[in-house]
Amino acid sequence: MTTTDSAPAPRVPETPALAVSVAVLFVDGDCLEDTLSALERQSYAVATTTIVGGGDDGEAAAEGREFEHVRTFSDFVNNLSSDVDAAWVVHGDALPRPDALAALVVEMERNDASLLGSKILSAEDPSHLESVGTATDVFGEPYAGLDPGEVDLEQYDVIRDVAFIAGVSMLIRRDLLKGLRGIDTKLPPVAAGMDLSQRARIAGGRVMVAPSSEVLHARRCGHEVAGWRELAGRMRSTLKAYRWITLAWVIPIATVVALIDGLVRLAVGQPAALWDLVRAAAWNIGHLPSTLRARAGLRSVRQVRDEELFRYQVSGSIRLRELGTLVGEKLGWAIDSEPGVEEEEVIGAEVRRTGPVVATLVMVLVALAARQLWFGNTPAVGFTLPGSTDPGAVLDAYSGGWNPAGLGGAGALHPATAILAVFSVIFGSGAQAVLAILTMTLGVFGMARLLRRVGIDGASRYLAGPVLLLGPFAATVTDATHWAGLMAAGGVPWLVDLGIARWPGSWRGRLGRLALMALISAVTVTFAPAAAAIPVVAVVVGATVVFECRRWSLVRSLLVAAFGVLAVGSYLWNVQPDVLLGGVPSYDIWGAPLRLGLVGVAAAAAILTAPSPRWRVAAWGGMLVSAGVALPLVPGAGGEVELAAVLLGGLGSGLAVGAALPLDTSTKSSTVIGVIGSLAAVAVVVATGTHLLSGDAGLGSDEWSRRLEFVEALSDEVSERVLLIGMPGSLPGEHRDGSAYSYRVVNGSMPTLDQAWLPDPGEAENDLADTLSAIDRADVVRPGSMLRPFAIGWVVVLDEVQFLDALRAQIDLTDVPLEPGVSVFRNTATGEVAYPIDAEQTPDPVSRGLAWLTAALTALAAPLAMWGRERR
Amino acid sequence: MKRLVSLLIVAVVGGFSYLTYVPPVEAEPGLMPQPSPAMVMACTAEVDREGAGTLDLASSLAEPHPIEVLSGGTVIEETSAVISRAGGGRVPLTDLIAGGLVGFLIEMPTSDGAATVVQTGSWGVSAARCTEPGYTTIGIPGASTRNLESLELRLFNPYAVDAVVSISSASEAGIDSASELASVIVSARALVVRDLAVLLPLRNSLSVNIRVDEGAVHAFLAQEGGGERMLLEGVEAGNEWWAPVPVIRNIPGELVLLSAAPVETEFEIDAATPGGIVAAAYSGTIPAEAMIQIPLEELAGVTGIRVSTTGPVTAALVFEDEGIRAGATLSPRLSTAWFLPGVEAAESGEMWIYNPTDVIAEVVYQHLVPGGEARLVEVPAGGVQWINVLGSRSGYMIRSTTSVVAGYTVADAEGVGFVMAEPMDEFDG
Repeated sequence: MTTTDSAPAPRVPETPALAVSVAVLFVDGDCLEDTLSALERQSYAVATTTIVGGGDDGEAAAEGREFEHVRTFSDFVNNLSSDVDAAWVVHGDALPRPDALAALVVEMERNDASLLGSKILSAEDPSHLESVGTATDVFGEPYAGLDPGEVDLEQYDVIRDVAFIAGVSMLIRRDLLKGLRGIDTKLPPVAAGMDLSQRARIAGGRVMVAPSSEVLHARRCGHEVAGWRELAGRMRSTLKAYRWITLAWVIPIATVVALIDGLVRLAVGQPAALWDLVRAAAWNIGHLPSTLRARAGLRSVRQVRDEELFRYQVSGSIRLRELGTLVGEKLGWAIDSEPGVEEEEVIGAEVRRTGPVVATLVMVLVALAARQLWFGNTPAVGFTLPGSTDPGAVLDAYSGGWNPAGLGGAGALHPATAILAVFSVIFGSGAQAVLAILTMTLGVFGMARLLRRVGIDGASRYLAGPVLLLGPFAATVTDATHWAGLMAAGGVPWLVDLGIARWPGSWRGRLGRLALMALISAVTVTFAPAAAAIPVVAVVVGATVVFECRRWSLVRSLLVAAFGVLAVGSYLWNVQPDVLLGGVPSYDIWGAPLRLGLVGVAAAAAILTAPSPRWRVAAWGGMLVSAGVALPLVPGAGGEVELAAVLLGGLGSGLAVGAALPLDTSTKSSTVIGVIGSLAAVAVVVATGTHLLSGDAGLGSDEWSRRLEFVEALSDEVSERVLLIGMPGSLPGEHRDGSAYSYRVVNGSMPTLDQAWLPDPGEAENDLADTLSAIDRADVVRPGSMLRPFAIGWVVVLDEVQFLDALRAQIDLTDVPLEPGVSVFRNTATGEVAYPIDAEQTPDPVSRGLAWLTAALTALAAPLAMWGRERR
Repeated sequence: MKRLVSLLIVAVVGGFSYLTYVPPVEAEPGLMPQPSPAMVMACTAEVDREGAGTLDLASSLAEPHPIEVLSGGTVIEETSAVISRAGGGRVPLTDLIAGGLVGFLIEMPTSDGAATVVQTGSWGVSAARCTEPGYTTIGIPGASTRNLESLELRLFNPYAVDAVVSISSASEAGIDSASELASVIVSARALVVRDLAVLLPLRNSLSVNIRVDEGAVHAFLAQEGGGERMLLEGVEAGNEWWAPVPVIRNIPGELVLLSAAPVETEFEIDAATPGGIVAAAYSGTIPAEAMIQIPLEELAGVTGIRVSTTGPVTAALVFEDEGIRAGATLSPRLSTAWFLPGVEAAESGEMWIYNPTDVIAEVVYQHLVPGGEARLVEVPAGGVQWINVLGSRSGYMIRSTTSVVAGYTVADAEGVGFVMAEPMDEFDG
């Protein structure tokens, strides 16, 4: 509890225990008078009062009150009489309560403290705490432990040892002050307090805070001090305080932490942090001689080891903690708020409270249902395969190089392999986990954001996210084991949202919006190239029921689509049309008819009974669902187009369910139809929990992570292929068909995502097809020698296919019993390899140029999007 | 109104999609063009100093035919048989192996090929075809362990994959087997021998069925006793068997039928006699997995036979008397072209051609030597033609205007061997 100056009369100690001299550090003339008046009201009599610094102003103020005046703090220290027991150092912008010094003296005596600080309160609002002693981490970063604007409820009013005290008000024993040669005048206020505290502790002194001593602080002392000066001061203090052996590890780690901090802050639009770091380092290099002298001076008084300092420090890095908080805030702000969106005032208080709770629960649901993907255990099955261990080669292949999939070829690599390779360069083996977390988080908040954009607010909008990511259409994608399709789903609502969002008013905002469009579109479309068309289709359909006719929405959607097309330009340049319009996997869209039917019931009920805009959004969602199930019926609309249709349906189902959910008063319906619709919507959401047990988001159990490990363990040659033969469903990625069996070739001991999609069959593939047919049809005695030209070192027959019979009577494919139910043959034949794994190919300059252009623009888009965001 | 229109659009499009939707079906693996087939054959031989022997080959391709000789799980010799432009080739066994029991694997670059091992010595003549790998059930009828004669079951797996077989046997007493034969692993590239004279002694007639559970094997029975040797090759069980019935020194012969079926199997024998073909001259039932012996005397004057059954059966003709023992499993089909390798590997040879059709067959038989002479004979409908090919030292190929079946005997003063000819696919009638 704070007190005021008009409060009860100050308490005067019965017997003054210590003779105290006061040093008032001049800050500016405006504050000084108030400070001096406050000092005069102190209940504890002092020996002398000296104004330190301030030049003529300081001298004039001293004369007016018959105080002493010295130019520097060193002069004050030198002038201290031996009769004085302690010095009270007070900032010239501080307003000590009348009993502040008395409390300090009492506690110093009682606790045998050497350096004692006051509780610092804001002069503007004395109920707000500024400092009650401060901790640091091992790198000297201060940690007050207070929330911004935290109210003083005496919650910290315990006298205790602390890492350092604020320099605003501190009582220090004279002998210690002299031994330490006073305050380091090269340091700004906070750093100076930390420096003096650390030196006092090293000298064997006890550094404490006495909350019973309250000082109001006008915070003028720091006004003229740049942020980097405090950082530089803390660096200097650390360099002075620690022994060399401690500095040997603290300096490198602190440098890395500071660099990470600076770079991340640069990425989130705070470039000053990195600049401050550079300036602070430069300042310390410039002042290194004086720092070393100060270290040397400290040697004579050092009484304790560094461990005594560690006792009052927090573990870990405060800077990294703050960085994590900052990134979290930025992410949350970036993905769930947008200028132009209806503000929270229109939402009831009840809804405001439930929104974050539901959002949290939804994220937990999604994280649990996809925990294998989130925590680095993405199953390797079908088209869900890990990234290559050589992402550089994948990027090279994507940009017009040799496509190593199957027996290799010049065909385009799927762009999903490129984005996974980029993330693999940054995150290593955790790339798929990072992508899953990123895209699925985007999916949840993207749906919420889109629904809010079209007028559906409250908690229900968060529940639409799981419907998008784990609902019936997502199940269609995951049943086909299409990891890339699932990743694309997360970006789909954003594509539409960016198309219909209000155009920012400022040029900076517009530039940022364009960058955001490019970034989101690039990420989404690289996973599913035909998804570029989704915003256009969705807006055109939506214009019929949800929006008024907004030409610019269509234009912006076209722009989003254009960015997407540009992002996969290299792929589109190379890919054959039949790959976009056909091929595997195929999606069993009506594979979950009950869940799709529930979506239909929810949408229909909301259309009939819900008020606007909910019925309109439900109609929009219903139409997108219909488009999603109808488009694949169009002749030739297979492959990537089919995937885009499924994603469109997923978006529609999220919109329909989000509009039909009964989670705020505007949705609750007393009609029977309304209740049925609400129940159907709830059922759809509940059904998304299907994968909670497996945690694989429906992709299925792992089949390939370890299955071919024997290749690496048993192979003599580095470059060998594995021929996999089986039924279509048991092979990873795409396959070719033989007679009553399917097959494909895998490089090395693990099928990777870049091998999932096979290039158009060339001479090598045709030769292999003929060879396998020959082996299958005739009693070939040496199939191994026939496969050797293809660099096939292993043949793995997965199922009881007829081809296995062809390998019963042969002599150069040795049976290796490794796994029940799987026949593994080692090719013992030797001979020339006609189709090596690492074939040379001159890159296509157009593909390469497009790939690099895309990469450069996308890399530029991220910081630009962050920089250009309009803040509310 | 707008609500209803929206609902109508959703319902119509969604409903239409559902009603017209066809779930994706995994693409049926397509059919690839059939390449030129090849074939592998294998046989076994026990080589010793007392006798001589040859591996005779006939092939439609005049290319070297690789031969691997395996013993003790390893390849002890790799060579190639030179096939003349006429299609014949011969490799003396002593060129391949100094002595001991070995298996031969012959890689035929064409499916039109045949190989025979013919050995001569003081025991007489033994001859057997090399066989294609057996994958299902291999039957070898017509052996015996009476008088404590040696009877070796040779299971040869020249391939890279281990084989597992289950062996059952039948004798005149019915189903008859030994537990040691229940499951036999024939390792890759290995030859496994089981002495049936020890396991199943004193059987007047003994036949074995070898069910191939994994991999592939070649099976042979080598019978020795009384100064005679006979080699019988195992063939996969079938429903129809053909053979000419040779006259071997007027020794009485018998037809042995071995059933591989788990149920009773009915059979019927059409017999060619001087009076023509007698349909269903003999018929009966073979108990499940058992064998029956039919003395040829019961088919009076028979010169050719056709056996048809209702289940999988193997059939053999065996001729046995004092000092003479010859036998062969029958041919599962007819053809218009046949290879007869090694027909003159001994001192003399005789070809036997049975025409089961109702038209005269004009048969050309040709030496498989460069410039070999081709001669024409006519085989009457339902009749058998016998051709003595003394002194040619090579194999023969015959071509016929109608489907026939052929076999041959090789003989010297000590004994006789009986072998069925190998049909050629190219001229399959």
